[in-house]
Amino acid sequence: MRRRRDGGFEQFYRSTKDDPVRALIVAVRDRALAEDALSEAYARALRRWDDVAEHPYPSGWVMRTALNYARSEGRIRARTSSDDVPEVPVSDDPPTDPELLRRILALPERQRDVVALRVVLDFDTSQTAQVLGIAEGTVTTHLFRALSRLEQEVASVAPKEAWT
Amino acid sequence: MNEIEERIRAAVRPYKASDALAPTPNERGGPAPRRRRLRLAGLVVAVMLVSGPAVASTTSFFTTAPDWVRGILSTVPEVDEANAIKVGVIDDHGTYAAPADDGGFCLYYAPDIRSGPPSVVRCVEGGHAANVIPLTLEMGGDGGFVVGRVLADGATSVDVTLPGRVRPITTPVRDQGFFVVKLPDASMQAVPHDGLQASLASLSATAKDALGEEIAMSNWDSTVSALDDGSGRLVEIHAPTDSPTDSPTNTLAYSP
Repeated sequence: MRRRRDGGFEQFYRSTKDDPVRALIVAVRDRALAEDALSEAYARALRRWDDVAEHPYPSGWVMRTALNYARSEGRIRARTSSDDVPEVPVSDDPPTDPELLRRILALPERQRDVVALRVVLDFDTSQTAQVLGIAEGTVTTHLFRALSRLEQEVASVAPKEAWT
Repeated sequence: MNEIEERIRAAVRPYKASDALAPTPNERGGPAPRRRRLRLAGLVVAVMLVSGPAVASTTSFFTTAPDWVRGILSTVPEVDEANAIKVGVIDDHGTYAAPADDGGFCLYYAPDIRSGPPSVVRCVEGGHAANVIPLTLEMGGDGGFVVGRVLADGATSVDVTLPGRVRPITTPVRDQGFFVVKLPDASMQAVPHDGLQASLASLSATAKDALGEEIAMSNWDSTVSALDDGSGRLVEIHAPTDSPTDSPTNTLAYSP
């Protein structure tokens, strides 16, 4: 049975909206672009909700659409060097671990994509591979490299205590 | 790897989706709205409806202002303090808006721990025009937002074009016709870079009905900012010196 068009979407949106923003900020390193892309992806999902609701991973559909949109906009800066650490986007709540976030944003693009999907969105390897259009082994490799590098770089940096 | 994964999740947790990301009914049938530049200095204000402010479609969204804020706003003439809402928090100051009889609204910034009670309420004039959207750009050191009010009957959503942003943000029309858009990072950077007048020139709002028809819009005269000293009508108030302070969360959030 198909879900009721708007009601199902509303529930989907309410239950998924925060993590995709976080994942996209990791992937594209630009909050405005992340919000633009996600807004576009949700709008497209709503327009074809009957189909998206039947998708095995509606969240994956939204993420793939948002990532494609962001990259087709051509506004992603192609900085991949760890020496070129981008600024951390302004957050809604006080940042708790800005140094780690800076290091995440300094990862190569594909590693950021994998971290965004596997860690932030908690997708499994198969889902991540499907969304990114790469092999599962590639996902595993990128994730291992990214996490190893982050562990090494921030091992001695404790998270900042949250503001009260 | 679990520890570093937990740290990564915690590091991105301070980011939250703006409610403005939610697609509106207008976005069901066609492509997402394209950017519109409506700003024309001296844009003719068309028919002025003087039958009193109609209330656009409403859903329960904003937090009601507390009694002590409504008490302060009750001293302002021609303001409906009973329907005052909390808009958000800028630089630790809770920000409240109350609808005004002319279709505009008045903003009250609550004191924080460091400041004394404010002596004025700033009102954005509405002019009783249902087809004109009064709009204000409010900005502090840690964030900002655009507040507006739509009087037009049947208005369901507003496309808000912001400084430094390519696409408009579409947001629903809420209680008493109010709408609020949090300034994205790009706008926070663009305003000081471009200057206030240029930023206001790039700020606009267009209200649509459920069919996507444009039924009201902002114009140069209806777009103001607290950053501009000559902007809006200041009404002196006499707040008690022991007014409660708002929660000093140092965050920007309008309450869903």
